[in-house]
Amino acid sequence: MRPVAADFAPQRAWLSWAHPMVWVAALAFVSWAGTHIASDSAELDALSASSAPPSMAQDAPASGVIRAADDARQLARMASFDLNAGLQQLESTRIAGIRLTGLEANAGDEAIRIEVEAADGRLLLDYLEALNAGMPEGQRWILVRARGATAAAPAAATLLWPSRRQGP
Amino acid sequence: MWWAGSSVVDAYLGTQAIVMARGRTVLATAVVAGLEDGLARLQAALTDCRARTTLRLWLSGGLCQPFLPPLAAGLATPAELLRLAQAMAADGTSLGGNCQVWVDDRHGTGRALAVAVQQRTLALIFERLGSIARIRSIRPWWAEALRVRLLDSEPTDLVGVRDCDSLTVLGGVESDFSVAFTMAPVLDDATADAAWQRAEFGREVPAIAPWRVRLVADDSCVEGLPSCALGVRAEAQP
Repeated sequence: MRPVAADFAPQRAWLSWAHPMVWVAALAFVSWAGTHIASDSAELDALSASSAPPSMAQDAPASGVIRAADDARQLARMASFDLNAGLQQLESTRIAGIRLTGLEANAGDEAIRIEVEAADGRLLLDYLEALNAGMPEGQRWILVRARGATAAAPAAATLLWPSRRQGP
Repeated sequence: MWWAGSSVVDAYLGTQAIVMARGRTVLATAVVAGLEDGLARLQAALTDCRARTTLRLWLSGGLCQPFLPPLAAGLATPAELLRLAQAMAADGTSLGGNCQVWVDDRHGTGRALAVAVQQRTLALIFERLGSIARIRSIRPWWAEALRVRLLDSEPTDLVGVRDCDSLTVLGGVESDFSVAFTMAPVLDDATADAAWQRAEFGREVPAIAPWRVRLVADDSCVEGLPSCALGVRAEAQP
């Protein structure tokens, strides 16, 4: 065994030199902006006088609707906790080179276990990340077992859904 | 100068107990009911300190756990190993949820060791303690216990680290790890003994006499510890 140097505090050593650098950069930007804003604003005044102002008001509600739709979709996804969600993740995630070799869906346990293979172990990690992209905690796939590629066999992994184990 | 070091406080945070010490002086101990209660007690104890303190935080095995990522050939870089370990953290530990993972990469010279802590735990720590103390480090207490045990000239191939909420088992020959996991919750000696026997029966740990290491929070701890009053007591298990 060997000592374990795990440390989860953010490392702040860089601040000792970066801090003054940030101030210098900020001051430089302010002085640069001060000389340019005046001329830019004059050009903008001239431009706005010669043409109709762009209507930003039309964009605001549209983006608001999209945000609300995203939130609603997220809530609906979290509320409907069934096997379909996991299966949909599988169906909608396609990565070339990934071969699904086994699928076991257990409605009683609300769990799906899949076996996947690929020529390269990195591809399996890409696949796992693609499956979990944007998924809320508790509806993510977790890696249960992994085996690297050998001369005789491709890399293989066992993935389990969902990952809803209680923490401390 | 009184502030050159005396403002550094060591705090042990578990789901069942907290201990805070400055040097060899224990400032606070408490039995707590969960992580949030423990953080509230530490927050109160730190607020009582006059000056803004520098905090070295030691996490219990219930909050911060080791595991061994599988030996996956073809993973070439430390970043890929970290990705693998992050993907396995939920299954390799009893923590659940999204975890932040640290990996001790051996660059092919031995088995990599990974350590995980829930992102929620870290967020709560920074939220509750970050404004009243400079957090210098957040480390697993079992890692400190292991370090102290390894200082001993007597060889150690298997260590059981027992703290307020867990039993962490670490084993391996020379500088390698062959066993690294935490059983949690383990709240008393009887549960710890039963958990160890189960692990032996299931061949999760080798059948050799372990060193049993405990958390002590008094001035009787081993000399030379940086964590001072958060000491380590090691006993050879027959």
